[in-house]
Amino acid sequence: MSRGFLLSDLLGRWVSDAAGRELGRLRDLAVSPGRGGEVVGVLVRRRGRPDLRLPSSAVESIGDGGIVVRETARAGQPGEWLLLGRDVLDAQVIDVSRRRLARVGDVLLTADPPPLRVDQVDVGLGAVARRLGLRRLSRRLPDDVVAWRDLHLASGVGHALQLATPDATVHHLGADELAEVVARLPRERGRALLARVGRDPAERVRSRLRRRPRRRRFRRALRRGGDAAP
Amino acid sequence: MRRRSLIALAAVVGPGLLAGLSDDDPAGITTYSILGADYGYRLLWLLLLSTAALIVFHELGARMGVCTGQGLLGLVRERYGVRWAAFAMALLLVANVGTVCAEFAGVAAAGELAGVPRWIGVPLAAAGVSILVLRGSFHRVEHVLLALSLIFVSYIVSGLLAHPDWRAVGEGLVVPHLPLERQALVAAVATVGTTLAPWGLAFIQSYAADKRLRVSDLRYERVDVVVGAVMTGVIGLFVVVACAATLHASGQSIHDARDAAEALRPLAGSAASALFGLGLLGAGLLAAAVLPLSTAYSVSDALGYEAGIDDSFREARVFYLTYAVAVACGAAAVVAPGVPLVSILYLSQALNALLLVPLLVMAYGICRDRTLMGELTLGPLARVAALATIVLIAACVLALAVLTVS
Repeated sequence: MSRGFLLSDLLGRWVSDAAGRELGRLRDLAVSPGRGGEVVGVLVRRRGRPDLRLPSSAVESIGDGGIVVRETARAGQPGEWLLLGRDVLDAQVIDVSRRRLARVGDVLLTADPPPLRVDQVDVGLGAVARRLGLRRLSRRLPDDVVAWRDLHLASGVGHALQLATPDATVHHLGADELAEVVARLPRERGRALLARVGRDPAERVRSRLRRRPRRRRFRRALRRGGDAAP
Repeated sequence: MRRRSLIALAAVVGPGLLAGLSDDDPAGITTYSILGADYGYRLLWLLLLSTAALIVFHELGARMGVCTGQGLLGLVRERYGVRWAAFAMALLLVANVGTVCAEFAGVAAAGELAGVPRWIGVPLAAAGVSILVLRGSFHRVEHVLLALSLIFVSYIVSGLLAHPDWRAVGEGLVVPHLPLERQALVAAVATVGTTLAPWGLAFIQSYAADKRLRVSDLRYERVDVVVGAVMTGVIGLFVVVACAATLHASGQSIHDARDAAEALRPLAGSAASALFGLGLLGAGLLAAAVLPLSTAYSVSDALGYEAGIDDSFREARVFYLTYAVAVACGAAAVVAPGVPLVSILYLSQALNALLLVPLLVMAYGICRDRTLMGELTLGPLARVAALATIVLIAACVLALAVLTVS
């Protein structure tokens, strides 16, 4: 496992054990928000039976022919799992570094060095074109990737799990950046975010949003170098 | 407390009214005019049915927009994957641009009634709606569009000037009656179909999200949706009534809304005719602004780009370019000689019908998804209402397809 993988290529691939016995197809990969982008679990869809949950350590190889695992290992309850296919792929994200709203076209994983982990997400049109089978077009379109650590997930599960993670990027933002993130989130999620950052920072963000309630004016002021983050 | 509620309602009003009233576009006015001219007051009950369906339909859209802060095609992509989103986007794009042609054709017809040639009226209208959205802030755009909606009052006045038989109107509204003949069935399903459009659902959801309505605003937004849908039905009713009281009574038949305005002159006076034409202009302008907006929201949502009227061009290029291209194509098709406008309109109507049911089914699936909708997931009663609406619309689409082909 020395090269990078695209999540959209992996989902649906056959998963088999070391003896070559097919176990099912890859349903999803799980990451734990508290452990960066490290893949912690593998979900295998089996016909007529419940999904098989395996720890990522059970994965022996990922190749063009499929994914080989050790079936004997079993993962624990996926209570805190963020599922990359369900909660990240095609979900809305906030690119904190470039202060923009985007949608995940694909998830780029790497196992170099191990363990398997999420490296970046592709939010560009090229990823969409590739997944639609328009490979020639996708090669002409520029990549638009965002580092995993610079993302704040706007999907329901992703947002909640990231908020609950103390070292998530949003917890380390200044008032201006945080105001920018809150301004882009649906109102309820923005409120949940402010509830987590503490009373004083939240009040600073609110005062910035109150003073410039509409986004266009707010961003112009930011570009002019208006209020600096405290 | 009451005053506070009214202020909160006033702040929320917009998505429901605009999405509803823009459904009374020139194509809708034409359908209502033909319904009144050919069948008098007898099929008025259909408007009650379509109004009820519109309320259910738009409530779903508003609920999704308020709860998730995302547009319809964005949610389709999140829940059903990129292929379904791309499929819906492609159909919606073609259907919407075709329908924008119909809106500008309505503007052209209204202009020509007043003696303004289409090569002047249509480019002016296109420039007007483009400048409004490209240069205006969210609130300014909303205020102008809501002010434009006031023109629809002209249909009510026009209907009153036609001196309708109110007893027959009441009977037509509450006693369902449908002649079992092909033309009447086509008129019936077209009436229900013209009120409900995929772009309307996409618009109300994205617009509610763009307005950044909160979950606590939803109860006011529901009032907005109901008022918008009822206003849409009332305006449709007055169009039918105006044509029923004059054209049907004198045995005249018409082909479009412009015919109706012209035919009203000797029967109900020049004021009624002028007001009917003015209403057609307002309907065309409102829909010519709202439809490209719906298209721009949908394309941006599906492809994952920023979409907001308050965003600058630099921040939301795809959004503004889609808007500009939709307006330019619609206006050019009406002005340019040799463009097969009738074929374009026919194709766009067919695509709208083709897209409507799958989009509704997907919207229903999204609204039942607790992960996406949380506490606003559809309850049992709302599920029954939504399913009944989907079945009604699917039956109408199927009936229209069978009647058109046979």
